[in-house]
Amino acid sequence: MSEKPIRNPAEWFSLAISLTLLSAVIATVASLWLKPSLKPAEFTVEPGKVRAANDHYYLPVTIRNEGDATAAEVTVEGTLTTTSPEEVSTTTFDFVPARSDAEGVLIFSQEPSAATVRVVSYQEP
Amino acid sequence: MARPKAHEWRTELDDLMRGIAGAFLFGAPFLYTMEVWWKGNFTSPPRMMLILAMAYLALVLLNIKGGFRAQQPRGYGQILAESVEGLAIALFTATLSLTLLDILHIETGIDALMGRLITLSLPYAIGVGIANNLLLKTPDDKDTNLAKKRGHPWRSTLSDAGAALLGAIVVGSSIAPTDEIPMISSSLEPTRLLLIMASSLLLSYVIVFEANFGAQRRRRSQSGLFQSPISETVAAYLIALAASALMLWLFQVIRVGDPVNQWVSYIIVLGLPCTIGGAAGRLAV
Repeated sequence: MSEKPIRNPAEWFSLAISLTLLSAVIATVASLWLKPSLKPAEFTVEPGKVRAANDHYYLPVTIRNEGDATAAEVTVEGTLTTTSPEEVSTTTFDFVPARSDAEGVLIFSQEPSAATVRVVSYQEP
Repeated sequence: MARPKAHEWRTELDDLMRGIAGAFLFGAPFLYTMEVWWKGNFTSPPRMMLILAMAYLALVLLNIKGGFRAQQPRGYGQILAESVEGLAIALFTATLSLTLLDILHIETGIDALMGRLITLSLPYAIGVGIANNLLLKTPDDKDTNLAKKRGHPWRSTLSDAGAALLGAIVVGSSIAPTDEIPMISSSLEPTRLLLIMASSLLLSYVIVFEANFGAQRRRRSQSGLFQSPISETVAAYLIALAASALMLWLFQVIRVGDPVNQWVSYIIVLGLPCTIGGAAGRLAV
């Protein structure tokens, strides 16, 4: 292989691609940095379609963190008041990052379409 | 006039592939650590910038003696430019590998997404920076190896198989007993397992036959069962899978009574770092 004092077109090409990629990453990070709002974690919980199996009812829940901060150990509780005594089912998400979705399933022994689901607690990482 | 140009592109591709291979080789244990993904969930933008700056600085320092290009950097401008490329390779490879293992999704959210891939890009950048030291053979090595390799077919087959096994154990044994294997496997669909298998084979091929520019012709002419690149790659992958199964069983991650699909997915997920280690091992022989 002969020594070349300057970069050849192929090397210029990959440098150009690299610079484009890198500036896109840096621009994204900078925009996250400069973004003024710093809303703490806020959640919305949506129950999904109930699925019955083995005498139990599986209620999928989709949790969305609308805030700008990541939440850890997010505990979601579903309460079914139509039964007596009322039935409670909980699940914990390790992490729900800012503006992201996560899915879990609550299991009840009675048909849980009427259940109320809410976030009961979370930790700041 | 056309020939030297095609040659330049070929060399460039070899260099980039060597960079990617180096990133995987050094970064695989970090990729299989859930804390690395978790820390990415709450990495603040100033810290992301700091990590990127540190990765760049590390690359500049490493590129003085190492780097990923066969042709050594000529001047300070060259070193700075190659460090830009190295960082881009690290970020690209981090994105690719996290997506492959289903750790990056669209629903993850842009903060956590950037945090995860930038956190992982730091060890990957170091891998790119030492790619030559890990993967490139100097002409000197080549000659002594050539003499050694022209031995009995059985002997060179055994030495290649042993190197693949040893490499797989060196890289895979620290990953095998961890919770990441069940954790990653549980979220994978069959199509993704096939994708991981394809990536393992491709990476193994790239590390041994493509990224090792120069020594390639030597390996193609050697004797033994591992003689054609395709059959050597496949045989080395089978060895990596066997090593992966053995380690998972030894560390009691999988037991004899467990369902077949669990065995298969765990072995394939651990098979990826084992294959990378095995490929590096075969280069070292």
